[in-house]
Amino acid sequence: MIHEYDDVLSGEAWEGGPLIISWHDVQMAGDGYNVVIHEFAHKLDMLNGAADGMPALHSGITEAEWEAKFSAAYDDFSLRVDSGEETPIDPYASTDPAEFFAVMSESFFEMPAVIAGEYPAIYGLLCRYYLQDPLTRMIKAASASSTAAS
Amino acid sequence: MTSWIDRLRGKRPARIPEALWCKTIAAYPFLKALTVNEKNELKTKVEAFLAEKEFSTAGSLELTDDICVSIAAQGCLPSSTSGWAPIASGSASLSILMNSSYRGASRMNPA
Repeated sequence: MIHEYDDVLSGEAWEGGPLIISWHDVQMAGDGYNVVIHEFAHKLDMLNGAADGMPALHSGITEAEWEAKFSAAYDDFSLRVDSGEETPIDPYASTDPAEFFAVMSESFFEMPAVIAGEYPAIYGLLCRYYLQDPLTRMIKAASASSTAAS
Repeated sequence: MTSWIDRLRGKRPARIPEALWCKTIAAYPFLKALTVNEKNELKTKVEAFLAEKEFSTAGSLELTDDICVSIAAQGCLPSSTSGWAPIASGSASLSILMNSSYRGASRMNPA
């Protein structure tokens, strides 16, 4: 079971059990924070056993590649947080590899440019894992709406 | 569009009213950016998800269609192709609590 809280709960994902989400937190979605995507990422991670930051892989992604790229990014991110840097990615990601995967997943959808810029290897891997490219999608949508407006 | 297996289970996904669906999509930039085809694909998944999951609330929070569709639409996006089916066949219940969050609050109001 994974739960995120300090003095109050924002979300909880039980292995083979319910997903518990705070509606208050759902309404605070934006700027990289998204409790729904975060908890669903934990659920995906749990499909192949306890949440450890490595979900069941597909699309030719090997465990070795996932492990190498994610542990390098996790180590780098944890060092930055430990050194007191104000990271645009939620420092909560430095808790453990399972939280790192869940926070990177919510940021991947919420603020793809930040993940692509800071951790391009993770961005590329998540594009293959989630079978979509949110950054290209957002750029296309933005240019389509500006064309429509002009 | 009801699949044979859904009929076997006696579950028939209900269609989400268009106004509610549009309102939900518009509320989240990462959903708003989806192409028309992606939105339609997501809607089908959300309808199936809602037919399969049981939602419940705690405290004084009243469960509304808006809450269910909002959570399902966000949750079905990351799992939209890769692990969506296993999730759908996994846990059946989803609870929504009404409370505040230290983590969220600290993000919204950085010290």
